[in-house]
Amino acid sequence: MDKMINAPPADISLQANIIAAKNGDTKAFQRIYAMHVDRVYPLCLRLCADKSQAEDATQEVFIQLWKSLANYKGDSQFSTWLHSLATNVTISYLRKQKNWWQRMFSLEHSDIAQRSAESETDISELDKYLKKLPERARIVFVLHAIEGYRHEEIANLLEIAVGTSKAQFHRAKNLLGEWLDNG
Amino acid sequence: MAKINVDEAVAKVSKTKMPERDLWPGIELALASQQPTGQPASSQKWSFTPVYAVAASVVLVVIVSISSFYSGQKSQTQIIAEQMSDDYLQKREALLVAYGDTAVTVNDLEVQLANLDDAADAIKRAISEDPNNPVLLQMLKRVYAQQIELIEKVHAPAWQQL
Repeated sequence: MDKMINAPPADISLQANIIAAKNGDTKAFQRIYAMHVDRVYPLCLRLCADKSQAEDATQEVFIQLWKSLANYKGDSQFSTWLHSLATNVTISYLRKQKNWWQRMFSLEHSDIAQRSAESETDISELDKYLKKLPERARIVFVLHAIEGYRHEEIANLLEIAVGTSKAQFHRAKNLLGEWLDNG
Repeated sequence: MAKINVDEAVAKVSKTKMPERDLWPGIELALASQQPTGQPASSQKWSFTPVYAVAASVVLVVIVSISSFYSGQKSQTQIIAEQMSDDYLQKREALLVAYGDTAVTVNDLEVQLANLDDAADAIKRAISEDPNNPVLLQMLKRVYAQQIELIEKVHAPAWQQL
């Protein structure tokens, strides 16, 4: 309780909304959504590299959040906990998509031509090139370089060897370096 | 050279971005079909019959009661629970009279209703101990809805043959 008294107003508001949402208050849950969707969506977008899939994955993240909110005990920051949940749900979402394994283990082909287009004007140069990477290299790069996951954690998430994660990261980094140099 | 470029590009990446379309309506729709905090949703399919109108009236009364609860004082929880109980008993009596005793096709209806009555009693006791907990009201509402569904399920074949 003391923690709540000393916390900034935004944190108090978040905590209050979490408590209310745990008790089934969807309006409170909507406020939690509004507070965090702008951080969850870019994570989904970079992992999926597809606007339509990213939107679906983002919705899935918040549906799963609703289901598992009771598991949040406040031991860690809510945003950190949600970030971890979002990563897991998005990887799981991608796994359910057609040809996941084929795409994961195809190093030379990516299906960017079929991906629904994000408006190119409001994304960074790196984001444009991320979409060109093979799926596995992209996911590893996003998780390690942008989201700060360790290779051991990535290996566990993707069910690959740690060495594979490192190799995919270096492959992605080299490709991105080439494209950035030539871009 | 390339290494520096990539690291710089990563450092410039924005961690925030809003989706172009509003994703909340889809989420809200999904939540509506689920119980909060992981409680399993009913797998029974819903189809409209005149009998469901009675059940719908129960639900309506409950919704109105809960709305009143949220806009009024929290100490009203027990009063609302009592209103819900009275309303449910009236509707249940009306349904059983409408169907008639001979229409019963499942022998253990009374046993199942008694079990649900026990659950409702337990929830009402919990409400008396924790009068400001809206989740308990939701649970009570659910139990009463299950009882109405049970009566309808048991009597539906005989009713439809008439």
